[in-house]
Amino acid sequence: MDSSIQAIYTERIDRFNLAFKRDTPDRVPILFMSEMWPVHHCGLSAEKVLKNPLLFYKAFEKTFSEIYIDGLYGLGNLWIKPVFDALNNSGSYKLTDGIVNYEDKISCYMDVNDYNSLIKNPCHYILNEFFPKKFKVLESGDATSAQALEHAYNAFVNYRQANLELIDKTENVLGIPIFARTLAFSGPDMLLDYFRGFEGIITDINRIPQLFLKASSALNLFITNIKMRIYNTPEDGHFILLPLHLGSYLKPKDFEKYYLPFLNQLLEMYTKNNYTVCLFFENDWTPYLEYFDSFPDGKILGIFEYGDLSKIKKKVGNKICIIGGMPISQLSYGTEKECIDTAKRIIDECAPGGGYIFSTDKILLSLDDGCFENIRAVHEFVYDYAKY
Amino acid sequence: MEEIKSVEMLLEDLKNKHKNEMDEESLEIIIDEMIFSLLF
Repeated sequence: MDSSIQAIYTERIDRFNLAFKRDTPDRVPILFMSEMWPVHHCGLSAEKVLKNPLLFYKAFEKTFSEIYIDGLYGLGNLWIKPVFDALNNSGSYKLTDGIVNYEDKISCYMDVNDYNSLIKNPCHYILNEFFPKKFKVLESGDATSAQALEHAYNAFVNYRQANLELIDKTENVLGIPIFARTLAFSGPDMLLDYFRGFEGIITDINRIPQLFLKASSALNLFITNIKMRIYNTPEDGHFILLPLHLGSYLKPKDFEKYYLPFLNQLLEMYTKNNYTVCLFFENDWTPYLEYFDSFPDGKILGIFEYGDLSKIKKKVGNKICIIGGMPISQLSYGTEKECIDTAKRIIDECAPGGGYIFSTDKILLSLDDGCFENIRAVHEFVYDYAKY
Repeated sequence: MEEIKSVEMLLEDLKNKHKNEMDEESLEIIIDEMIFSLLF
């Protein structure tokens, strides 16, 4: 890395690190949360950057020469489609111009009768029972299955290499840190997202709560062990991204019993091993803030999609570093002045005392999620105004 | 007659096939990452 770029990179990492520790940096760090937005901003399509990942980097280079940022939250799951194509995926995965979606009902191949098998050995269940249901080509276990798996492996290695190169160039050439080193989930969220779907999981909690609890516990340990193997050297300035899904759909009494213990277990395992954890509070978590007192001490961050961030900071700012605040709806449809007024109010309310990172309330996926002129103006304003 | 293998066994074959391309730990990590990504 060029020494001047190294200095910029280190300065940015230090700025975030202080905020992560709920301390006060030189100014409020600006975190950019996007997936395909920079690609579309540069007039490119997902299809093009999927075929030529260098173009993705070029989109970063152009976009972030125009818009000031201190760091990127992560890259998203952008180039994974070829892996699924290799296994003749039958529709559980959709790529609509770079935006990853999966269809809830179609994606969840786990039958309610499969719980005991999953609880007994999650890895064995996923590989030998779940995958052959999800990917029919693996069902026969013959040479055709082996060939499909080989193609998937090769596609994954290519995807991984492209991701690593994009991270490497963005950090070492542009001096922009990319924070998420890996993505993890809690056991209950895995059951919801991958195995049972929303309807299935709500029914299971009501009808077979003990099986739900045992499966959540087994998956919690399974996924955490995998993640600690994959990302085995926790670094200051980078985090494990943990999106939270099921919790905010449960009434508080159920949340306490069916979600909080697993979230706390994950946080304890990661923080005890010196990892920084970034929780992505999807949906509105205002009714659950009182439970944050049970979180362990450690470097825990929280991105909030909804809620009054000022009240959130007052309530839980002693436990976690707060990220977010800028509504993408206003970045899309508001005037430049309205956006700057909002940014000023957020900074005035959330920055005092440190432990705050400026960002959008949601990830910028497509170009419609934020007007370029508004984003540029807001970031320029925060860069100048939010100094401690 | 062709042997019918579980996905676990097929992955073991895959690891053996690619074991000379990198160290064992790196290969295990790539396979773990792939398994996780296929859950999506």
